Amino acid sequence: MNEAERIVLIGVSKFYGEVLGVNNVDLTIGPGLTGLVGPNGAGKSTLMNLLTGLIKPTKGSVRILGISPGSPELLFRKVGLCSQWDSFPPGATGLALLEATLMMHGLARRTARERALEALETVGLTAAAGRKVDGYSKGMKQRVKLANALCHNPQVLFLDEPLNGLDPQGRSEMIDILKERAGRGHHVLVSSHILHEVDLISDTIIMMHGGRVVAEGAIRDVRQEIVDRPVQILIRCDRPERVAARAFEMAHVVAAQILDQGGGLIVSTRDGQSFFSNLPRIVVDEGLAVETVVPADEDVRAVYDYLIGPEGGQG
Amino acid sequence: MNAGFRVRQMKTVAGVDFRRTLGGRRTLGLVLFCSIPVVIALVRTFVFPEGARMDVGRTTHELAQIFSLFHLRFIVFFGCAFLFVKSFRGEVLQHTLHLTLLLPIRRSDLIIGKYFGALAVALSVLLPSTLALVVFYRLANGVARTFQLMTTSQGLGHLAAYLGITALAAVGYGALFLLAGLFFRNPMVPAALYLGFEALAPYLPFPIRVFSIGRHLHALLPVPVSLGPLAVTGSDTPGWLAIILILGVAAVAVRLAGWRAQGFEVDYS
Repeated sequence: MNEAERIVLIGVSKFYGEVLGVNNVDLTIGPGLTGLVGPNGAGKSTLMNLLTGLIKPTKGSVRILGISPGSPELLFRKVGLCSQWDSFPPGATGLALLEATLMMHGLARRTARERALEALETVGLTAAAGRKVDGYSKGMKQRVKLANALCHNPQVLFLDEPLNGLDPQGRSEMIDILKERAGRGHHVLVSSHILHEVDLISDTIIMMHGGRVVAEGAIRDVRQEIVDRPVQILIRCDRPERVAARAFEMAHVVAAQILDQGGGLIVSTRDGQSFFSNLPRIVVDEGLAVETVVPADEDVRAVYDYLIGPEGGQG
Repeated sequence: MNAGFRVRQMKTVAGVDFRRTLGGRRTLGLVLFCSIPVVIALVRTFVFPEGARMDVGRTTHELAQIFSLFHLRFIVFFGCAFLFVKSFRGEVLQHTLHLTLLLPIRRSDLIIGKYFGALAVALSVLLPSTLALVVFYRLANGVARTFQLMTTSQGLGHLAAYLGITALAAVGYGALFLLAGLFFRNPMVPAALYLGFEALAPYLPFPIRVFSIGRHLHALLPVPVSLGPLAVTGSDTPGWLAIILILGVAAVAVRLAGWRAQGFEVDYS
């Protein structure tokens, strides 16, 4: 994949005087849905703003599909941003806002209006199209921001905390829209501090803390790189105490915790591969009925806790 | 990206800004502010008409002074300060600038579009104000005499000169205040600084004096006015050169604003 198909940041730093925004970030982001996670103040919004040229890097370079953010006339034909800010021009209706955006993309007023209405329909705002955005609820403002970001059908979509303020149905609909865009091969980068939602959205993450990228890639790969933490494996079965007893015969198993309800256990091991190799023999020897065997800590929450610490996050 | 498309984008920016500004609540305040000269003209005509009713020369001279010392110096100047500084800086204060900067347009083109949007609003408000000032002030000479005066070539010439000067003032001051809006949050700060500069302009070297819009406008007045302490300082610049200098200063200021906008960062803190 060449630079014209990727988002590339090389040695990007941003300082606000003495205050650190992001520090020496190197990233390459391919198509699909990528979650950008980190606690408040980690540098997520700064990164989004650097990617869209709303702020300039103190050093380093940014390229979006080969385009510099310093060329907005080229960049925003391919990029849409759903920003963190909820403010809109006073008196603007949802329809007028999108219509103006689309006219800037070269559409005639009538076509712009039609496309604006389509985008508003996509986010479920048809009925409120003619109302002033100032009067929208927080959730409606999130929707109109999304509509404004995607109305020109960009190849790259950046979303800064897009799920804030949405009700459960709204979140589900928003996630469906993002997955649909990613399914078309577009780049979708979603920042969030709500970790279980990132798990729902994306298999690939960028984890930030203190202005630095502390991990990036597929969640499973990131987890496997954390070698100082034993792998946790959830086994749902009958007679979990027998599994625990046999597991402790393996030197790499460091803990086995029977679940409160008794229907299974969590095994902690320093060698997941060996454990998975030996497990079928245990099952056959003991005549166990096994329901599921799954990694218990290959999710964003666990990775986040290992790398950043539970106090760093919310949700 | 071809030039035609870029011009269309600039027109779109200007049109959107024009509609949003003219439809905004604050513009009502500006309209009321620009009505002050009309009120003064009406008071002069109907409350203190003595002495002027029969003396066309006197009203002509008074009108030139009111226009130069008050209308141009106060109404047009501060009206432009409000409109043009607000054009860019207002978006920072409203936290909406990011929406504008996310549009697929060169920032220098965006600035040009915003300049013409604000200029259209300025002309929509200031030209009627100038027109009303001239007509209502002339009413001191009586309705029939006013009609007669306004239909002569000299009367029409004066009216055209006042309207033209107002438009050129909006062009020149507007560009400078648009540029100032990229540096200052409060329009009164650059306005006060520029007023100070214009007062000092006669004592400054020529290359700096060129940036005094007030001096060039004064050269275009159809009637010479006596210079008080707050008057626009006199200029011996020929009219045609004054117009070129105003347009030149405006072009330079808009270009500089475009450069400044290239590096502008969104910071609402």
